[in-house]
Amino acid sequence: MSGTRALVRAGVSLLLALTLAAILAPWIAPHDPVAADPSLRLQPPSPTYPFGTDQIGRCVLSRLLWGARLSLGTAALTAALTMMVGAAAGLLAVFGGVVVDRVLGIVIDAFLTLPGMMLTLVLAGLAGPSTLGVVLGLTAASWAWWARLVRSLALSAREQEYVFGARAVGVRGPRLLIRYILPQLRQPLLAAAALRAGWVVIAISALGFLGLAVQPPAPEWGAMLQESRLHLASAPWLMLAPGLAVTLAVLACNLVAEGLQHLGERPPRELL
Amino acid sequence: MRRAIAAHALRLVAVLFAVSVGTFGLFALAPGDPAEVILRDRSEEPDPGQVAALRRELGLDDPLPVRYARWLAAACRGDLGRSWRTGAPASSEVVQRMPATLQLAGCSFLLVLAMSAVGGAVAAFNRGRGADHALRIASVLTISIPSYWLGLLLIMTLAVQVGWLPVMGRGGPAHLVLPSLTLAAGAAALQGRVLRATLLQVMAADHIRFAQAKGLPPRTVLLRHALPNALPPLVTMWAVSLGHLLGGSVVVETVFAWPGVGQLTVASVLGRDIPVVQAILLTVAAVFMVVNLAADGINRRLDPRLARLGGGGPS
Repeated sequence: MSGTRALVRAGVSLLLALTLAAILAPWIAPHDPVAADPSLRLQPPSPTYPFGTDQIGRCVLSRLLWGARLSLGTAALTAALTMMVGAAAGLLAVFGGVVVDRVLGIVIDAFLTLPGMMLTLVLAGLAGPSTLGVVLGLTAASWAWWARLVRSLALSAREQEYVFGARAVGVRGPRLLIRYILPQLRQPLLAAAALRAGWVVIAISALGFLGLAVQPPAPEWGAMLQESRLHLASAPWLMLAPGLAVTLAVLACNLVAEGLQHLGERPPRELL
Repeated sequence: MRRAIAAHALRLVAVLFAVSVGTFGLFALAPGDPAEVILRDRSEEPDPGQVAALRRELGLDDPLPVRYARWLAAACRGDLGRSWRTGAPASSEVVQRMPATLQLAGCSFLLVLAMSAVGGAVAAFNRGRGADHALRIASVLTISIPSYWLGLLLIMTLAVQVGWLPVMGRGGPAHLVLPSLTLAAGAAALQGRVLRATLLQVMAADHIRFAQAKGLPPRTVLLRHALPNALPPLVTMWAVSLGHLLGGSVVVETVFAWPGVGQLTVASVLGRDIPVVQAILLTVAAVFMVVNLAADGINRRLDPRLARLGGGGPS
């Protein structure tokens, strides 16, 4: 389906553009993201300050660009860490024997009895407020989701006839896992990874918005949104710019996920 | 059947045990000595003697398993200790805030049902046509907008500039509109897509084609033959989405200054008020579990096969 490929392409290009902006921030940002100039506070967008200035006269565009490093970097780190922990736990449950599966299953269920956002907020908030706290808290809060997904995918992958065949001729252990099981999981896991990456971006900036992520001068998109609330009527650009940045980042992830799901022709329900 | 239910119940107890251990473990994330925190809230600078006395009084010097058992026994009686910030019982702090959150989540849930039903059905019956594509794009966009930004956008347009609706706080029905719409949007988009997929899956079944071949009117086919089969998976998803609404309310309540459990969560986490955080987690987990059990029960009624097999619903 060409439309589906177009979705993936659009998502990937958007993601690349945002990543590039994050990497190049020190060179392309027109101003210092934390240098305040009280005489220039709440300036509307102009050629010198394309997205205007904030309540203490900092360049909004520069803060957005530097914020991309913080928000996207933290999101990428968290998504990767969560996926590794969750996948390890899920595979352990499938291949570690009945007792391990039972115990892990109970722990996973216990983590999933709470809405993800609430658990994230509590764990990241109590562990932080710092970038490390956000990464560890988010990982602790969402590894169980991955573990359950990987477990169920690996269980059905193990039941395929050619896997039985491979086991019948004596393929065991890591070789069975790497050559026969994992290739089946690649497509659904990629789609799920894209979807969850979007969720992680939302969660991280939500933590910033609630004041649980970074300390004030640091330019974080969620924190910028929180600061903009006092100036909704007088300086709407303060609220539009960071919100649009978060939305674009999440949209990029969701477009990729959307495309990958349809390429794999799996019903979307499996990814919830 | 009875064995299946027993196994199910046993697993539930094990999960509850794990949840309680995890919640108790949050004490480990407390900053410094709880006795010192409490005393510092009451007076300026506690002396070591006072701290030691309070530690003895609270039983903080006992071994961990003893403390856990005592905490659990009290928790089962509804006593989760006192808030470190206000000194009021932690459970009553949560109970006080619960109605506001349930009102918001309930209102959002109705919106989710209505919007997803209409959107999902329209998309399914126009599969591959313009309306389907438009709804697909709209749902991806809606899912991508973070709720706090959507909330701010709605406040700026409908409340600040046009002045139709109140900006924030809890009051009459008008106060409910923006928060519940904000909370519902993402979930509605997600549920609409699930509904579309489920409907299409059910409509592709043989017995539907048979009903259509018999010449039954489309309405009868949909209501009598398709809907009963589509409902069980949807009920399960609705239960999940109710949990998401409770979680999402943490952020939305902050945006709209809605005085519910979400705001209490943020304040308690920021203030490191561990007993209140524990009370919130246990309450929300209990609500979530009850909702899921109710969904399982409803599904057993809707789908006799589940009851006969003794399964716990699709998991």
